[in-house]
Amino acid sequence: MADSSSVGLLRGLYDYHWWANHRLFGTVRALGEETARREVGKQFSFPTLKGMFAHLYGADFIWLSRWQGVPTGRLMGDGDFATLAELRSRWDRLEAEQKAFVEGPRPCGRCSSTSRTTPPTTAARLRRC
Amino acid sequence: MGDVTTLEMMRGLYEYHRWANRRLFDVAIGLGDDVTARDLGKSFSFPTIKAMFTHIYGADFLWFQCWKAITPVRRLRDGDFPTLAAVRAPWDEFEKEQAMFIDTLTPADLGRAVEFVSVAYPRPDGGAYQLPLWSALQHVANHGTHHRSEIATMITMVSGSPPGTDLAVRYFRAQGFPG
Repeated sequence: MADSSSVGLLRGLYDYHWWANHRLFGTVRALGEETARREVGKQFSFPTLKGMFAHLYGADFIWLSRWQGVPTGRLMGDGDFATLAELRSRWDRLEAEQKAFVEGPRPCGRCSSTSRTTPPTTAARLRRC
Repeated sequence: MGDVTTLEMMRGLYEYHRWANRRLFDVAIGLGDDVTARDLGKSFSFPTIKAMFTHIYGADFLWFQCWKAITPVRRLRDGDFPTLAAVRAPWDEFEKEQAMFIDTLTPADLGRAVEFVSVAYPRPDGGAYQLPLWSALQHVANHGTHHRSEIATMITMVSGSPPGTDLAVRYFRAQGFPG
């Protein structure tokens, strides 16, 4: 379990985020591509399971770019993925990158705060200085 | 901004929790008692808008007793409230207590063990789960987000899409976003 430091809290939150996304994605994958593409009603913010997952992916993707301070493109969504399987493959890569950002060592070209024994501030960690 | 402490994050999280609950509640109350008591189907974890709100309030209330190690715990149920409007006054009073608890926490409090007997997710040996307080605090706010999402869907069904309650919407509003 994560520790109660503010950075530990964020890492724990993202561990949970990945776990919960995978848990539901696994259930939906078992329902099959056709079910995941079926419209289930306009009361939902996205009308298909695939569209809803694609929105989670797209939002995570664009916010990771913002965290990293790199230019953002358009918000990706359902139309960017032909299938759930394709979404999974790209999401796995995004998660790895997100994980490296949230959990990884923090090499920094502008400061020497790379050591876990002399941690930079939370804000600096999240900006990567 | 300098380093953000865990306590600051928790206080911010609960300010957001109260704001988001209130934002949807105010929309729901405008729909009238008939609509908020209408059964909207078994696809929701609770079938009415009123019951969904009383569940959020009830879960907050239950966990609050666990945070404070109060036993035996008292549980609130939807039937305790004749109308959605009747929920507001006791919830307001409870929110003040909850806010006072969060606002007066110290760093040393965060690691204290909290015991919780779950009805929804019973422990196989029948015992109580133990969580550090900071984790139990995170859970309650996250739990509210889950059910607010259902409430937003329900309100969309009976009226129209309600205003956003994303965490970012709260931050953006503080910088001038009107929505």
